[in-house]
Amino acid sequence: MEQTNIIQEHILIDACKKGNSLAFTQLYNCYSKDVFNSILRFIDNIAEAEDLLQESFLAAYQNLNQFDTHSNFRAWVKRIALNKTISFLRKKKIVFNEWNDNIDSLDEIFDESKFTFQVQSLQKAIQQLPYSYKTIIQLYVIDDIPQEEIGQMLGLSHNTVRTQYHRAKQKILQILQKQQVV
Amino acid sequence: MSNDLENFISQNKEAFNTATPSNDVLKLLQKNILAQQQKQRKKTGIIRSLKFVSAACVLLLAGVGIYNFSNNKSVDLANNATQVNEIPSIVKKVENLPVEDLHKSAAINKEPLTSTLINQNELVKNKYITQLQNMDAPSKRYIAATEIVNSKQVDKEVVDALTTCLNNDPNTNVRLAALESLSIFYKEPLVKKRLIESLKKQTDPIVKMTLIDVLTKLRANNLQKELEKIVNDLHAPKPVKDQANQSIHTLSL
Repeated sequence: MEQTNIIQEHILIDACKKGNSLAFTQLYNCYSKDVFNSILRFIDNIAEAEDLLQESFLAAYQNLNQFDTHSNFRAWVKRIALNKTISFLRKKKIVFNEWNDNIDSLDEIFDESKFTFQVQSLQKAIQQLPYSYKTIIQLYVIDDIPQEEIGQMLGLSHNTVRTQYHRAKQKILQILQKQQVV
Repeated sequence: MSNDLENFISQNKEAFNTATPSNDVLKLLQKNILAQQQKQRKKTGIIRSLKFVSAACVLLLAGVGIYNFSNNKSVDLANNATQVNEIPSIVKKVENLPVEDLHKSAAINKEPLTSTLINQNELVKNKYITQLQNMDAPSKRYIAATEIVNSKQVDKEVVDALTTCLNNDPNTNVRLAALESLSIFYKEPLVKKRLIESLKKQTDPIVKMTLIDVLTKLRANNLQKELEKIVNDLHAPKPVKDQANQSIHTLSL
């Protein structure tokens, strides 16, 4: 099934390169939701996220000749979108610093094997995280961006990303434990 | 350290992607892609037009170049043909003019036909002829008398100018230089004729003696007769008479 999707994707991309805009619409329909949600994890404003989504797919269309057919189109267009989103945030003076968090100390190490996870409670816990923690954990776990690449995107060192990811995860577990206790 | 959290999210990823973009995004995207395509076509069209215009310019320039080249060639040929046809009539006109008028004619350049023949060589020749007439500077007349034969345009005009110089120049050296230049063209009948005439008119004894020597070597017609006149001339200087006698003896051998 996956192989069929890849073949279909290649056919669509070839058609796009030949100027078939309908083929690009099909690619958009396949991947726009995924990309849109990735943008929304950074930006709360729906209109701004939609603008960034449209700009990202247009940039992908304009640079389609640079796309390596052996690569994953979804990952490629998502990276374009994430880079555009981060640039947008930088213009809004939102900076990803190598900061020391002011959240509660995390002396306690949680054993995640004892947790029973639910999507809704997990989403709520992620929303309670500080902005940078939230960004890193979403990029890494949900959008499958490697930590080193996240560091490059946000202008942080790999070590900082790894440390913050670990803290973010412990914070989520802490929140979830509190909810379960309550 | 276990990865239960990551595994759970990975298995339920779709549940985290709940938001859906509005249809307006696709409409705007399609509109922008269409505009992009039109821009691209326009750009391609402009590039094609530019290529076409450049090719046309190259062809046009090449055409103009070839046309000019062939036109110049034909114009040159036509000019040359005209000049060649005009030469005999010009020579006739020149022959019929007195020497002084010839100089004036060349200098003032009144004749339209002669003006077509004036080229660089002609200018050089005219310069020397003018210098030969410069009575204020014997050195310049001497140089002109020597150098005039080096100009590629030696004709009747030059011969006449040199003859005038040989007969009338107040400086002996200038006269001798003129004689030397004329003797280079001793094979020309006109030159021989002028030299014989000069023997009758020559007043400078040194020049007259040199002239007798040159004409003897040339074995010019009527020289014997002229030499006898000198020998019989009571006013002729003795060295000249001796030179004439010696030449008569040489010619009789």
